[in-house]
This record gives sequence, C-alpha cells and structure tokens, in this order.
Amino acid sequence: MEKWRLIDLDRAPPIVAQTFYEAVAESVHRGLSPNTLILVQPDSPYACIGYHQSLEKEIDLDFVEKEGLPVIRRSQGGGATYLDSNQIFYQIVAKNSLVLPRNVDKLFEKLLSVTVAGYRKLGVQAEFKPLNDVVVGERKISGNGAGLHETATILVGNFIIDLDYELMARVLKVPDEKFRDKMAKSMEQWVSTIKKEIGFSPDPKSIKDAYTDAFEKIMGVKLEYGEPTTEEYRIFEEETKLRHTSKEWLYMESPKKNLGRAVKIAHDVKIIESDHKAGKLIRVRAEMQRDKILDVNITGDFFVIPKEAVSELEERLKGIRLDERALLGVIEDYYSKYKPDSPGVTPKDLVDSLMKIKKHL
Amino acid sequence: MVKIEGYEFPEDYYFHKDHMWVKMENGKARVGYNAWAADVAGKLVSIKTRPAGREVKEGKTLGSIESGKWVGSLKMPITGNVLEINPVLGDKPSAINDDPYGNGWVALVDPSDIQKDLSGLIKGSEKEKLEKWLKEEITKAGV
Repeated sequence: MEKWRLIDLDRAPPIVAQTFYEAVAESVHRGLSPNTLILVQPDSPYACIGYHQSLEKEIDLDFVEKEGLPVIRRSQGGGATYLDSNQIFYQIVAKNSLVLPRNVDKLFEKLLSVTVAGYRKLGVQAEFKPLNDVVVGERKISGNGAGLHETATILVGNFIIDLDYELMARVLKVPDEKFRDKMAKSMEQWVSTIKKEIGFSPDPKSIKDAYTDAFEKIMGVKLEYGEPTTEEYRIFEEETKLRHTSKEWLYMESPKKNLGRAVKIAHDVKIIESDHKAGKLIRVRAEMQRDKILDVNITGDFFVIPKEAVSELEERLKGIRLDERALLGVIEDYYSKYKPDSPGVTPKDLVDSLMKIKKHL
Repeated sequence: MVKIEGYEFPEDYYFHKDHMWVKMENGKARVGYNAWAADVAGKLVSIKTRPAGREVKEGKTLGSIESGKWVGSLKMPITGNVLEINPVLGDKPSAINDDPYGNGWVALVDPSDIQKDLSGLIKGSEKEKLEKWLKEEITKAGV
C-alpha cells in the first residue's frame, strides 16, 4: 500500500492556500518529497482566475481594489471565481503513483469519487458528473482543477460550506449590471453549498475527516500526518510566491480572443452575451444549459413594433436548442402569428445572432 | 504508420519522451503533440505558446494546453528558433486532438543541432523501442 503524506495547513493567507501546493509539486517532481495531500482553508477572501484567463477580462479590477481583495492566477485550468474561508481545499500532488491515472478524464473520475464520498459522509447526496463535476441534483457543489507540474500530477478542489453569491457575482467583470443580476440569480439556482443542503455548516474538522477517510478507502493509500519540509518552504518563498505576486504572471496575456462574454455558472450552465452585426446590431444574452436556451434577452440598436413582441419571442425561445432549423421554425412561426415590424432585422438575422452563442459553449 | 495500443505513430516522425514529435522538412523541424498524449489530455480548449522568433531549448516549455479544467505543458523536443506557431490552434486548439500529426502541428522550428537532438529521440520506424516506451508511459498513467 502506498504511503502518502497528509499536510493540514489549517487556515492560511490566500497566497499560501492557493499556491503552496506548487512548491510541494516542485519538490515532489525533484524527488525530494513524497506524494502528498494538502488540506487548507483560506483565512480571508480573494478572487482567483484560471491559468489561461485574462485578468482584465474576467475580474472587476476597480471593485477588488476598492475592497482590498487580492487576485491570484492559479496554475490550473477553469474559470474565475471568488473564494473565502467558507471553503476547504484539498490539493493532491503525486508522481509515479500507481493509484493516480494520467488519463485526465479518469483522473477526475477517480479523485472526484473521493470528493463525492466525503460529501456523502456529511449527509450531502453528491454525485460525480462526467467529465469533471460534483453535483447535487443538477447543482454544482465543488470546484476542481488539475494539471501537470513537470512530472508531478496535481488536482485541487474544494468543499463549499457556504457561498456569498452576491460577492461571487460582484468580483467578476460583466458588461452591465443586468448581466450581473442574471449571473447572481443563475448561481443561486445552479451552485449549492453544504449549508444549503443540510441546513448547517459543519465544523472544518468533520469535513477534513470525512475527506481523508474517503481518500484512504477509495485511493487505497495510507495517509500519514507530516509537515512541509524546509526545502518546500524555501521553494515557496523564493520561487512560487515571487512568481504569483509578479505583475507579469498576474497580467499574463490570454490566448483567448474577446468574442463577447461567457461566464460558466455550473457544470453545463453558462451566461453568455454575444453581438451580431447584420443590418443592425443584435445583442443576445442567454442562460444556456449545454445547447439549450434556458432564458434569453434580445436587445440591440434595432426596434420592434409592438415593443412587447420581443418578450414574446424570448419566451418562445426558452427550451429550444441551438439548431438553425429549430430556431428558424420558432422565429418564423412567431413572425407569422404576431406580424411584428422589425426594420433591418430578418428572422434569419435573429437565427444567426442566436447561433453565435454556440462559439462560447 | 505504426500502430501501438491503438494509437498511430508515423514512421518518419521522431518522438520525444515528453510526448512531442518532430518531423523534418527541408532542414526545418515541424513539431507537435503525439496522438496518445492528446487523447489522455482530453479535448483541448485553450493553448498558449511562446511567440515565434525565440530560441527554446530541448526540454524547456514551448507552451501550455488546457482541456476543460486540466492544464499541461508542451515541452520542446529539440533546441531551435521558433519560426512559426500554427495559426489554426488559436481558434481551434482541438485540432491537436483531431489531427495530431497533420493540421494539429504546433510549431515550425529552425533547429540548432538537429543531429544531436534527433539521436535522443525515438524514430517512428523503431517500433519495438517505441512500443516499450509507450507501454511504460501507459503504466505510469496508472489505473
């Protein structure tokens, strides 16, 4: 049976909670440290962006500066988020472990089954949802990311005890306040917490015990309490921390082009805004579940007479999938029944504007 | 084309231990990510590379890739000056998954000492050597 080190960092400043595992990964890569599970709780709030994201496009920098919230670019994938002491992080760092798949889908499946088992011990009926989500019903209840640091595999994730939905929506950069309101409501609907599910916030120790117990059983490893080594502290202070607090790292250019705005709310739910220039500008803002329209708002520099007709169209589009023929059917039917006057905008233009959402799915 | 464990490895390509390939074209080297590594990474949604015009040494990071919530590195298989980055990948990083040895190439490189670097790689035609290495990688890949 493999023996892994268990480090409990307790409550730690955001920079430690979010990045110390990278120093451990470097040490594991160099063969100086054993495979390790780290548990840690941030001692104060901060915003965090994914490795390939653009800081300026994702985070409302004026707001975080005003509130004194630090922003950290993690080395793992995924999207921008707000984190605070209502979350407990697990951070898995390993090299050449026979219990850890290299195949990314299998890695998530195996390690998230530990998260699911941990949640279940706490009374939360969590389930693994492929490829990399943990849900209750259809609501997300854990955020996870993974990566390779040289030869060391990393997976990090969290137990969400409670969530400040308003603040979560507030730190993200959005086109306008209506988008933010929609996003906050969508988050409340699609992201859950332990407190929401069982009615109270368990103490951190019981969450950690539930997770480590599940970890040992499912992974088939023995966890032994240990401390970070002097070398890990040195790597953290002299390499990891310096990198993460540098402007070059934080403002690293994003490879993604700016084609509208999309915010992932939960596993398959996104709020997306997309512009389409036909004869007129058509702006579509939609709450999508995969390719299904849950809700949509159509605006732009065009007008429709009577003006209430747009709301009727928006209503009819709910539940429709992003398929050109299906959309055209709904929109043409709407035009034939309501006979709205929309100068410069044809049913085909509306279909094209809706189909642009697909680029963000 | 050699097929190992269901994955294709072109015979005239050279393979690096960090899962990059090299194909020689009139003294220049085209490099990319091999079919097995692309498959285990999953569908790629983002890629970031060093810009053209820089020298990158063998084993150093040429770029990073992201599939959903996983981030990994692309390691340079040879030392050389990056002449061009595949423009297709900016909009469609998953070209690496769809066509790893063709449309999904990553960079065109002017090699510094190609004979020395190629001697450290496994040629696609060396099936036994390639098979042994890939099986070890699959074992490392775990359960």
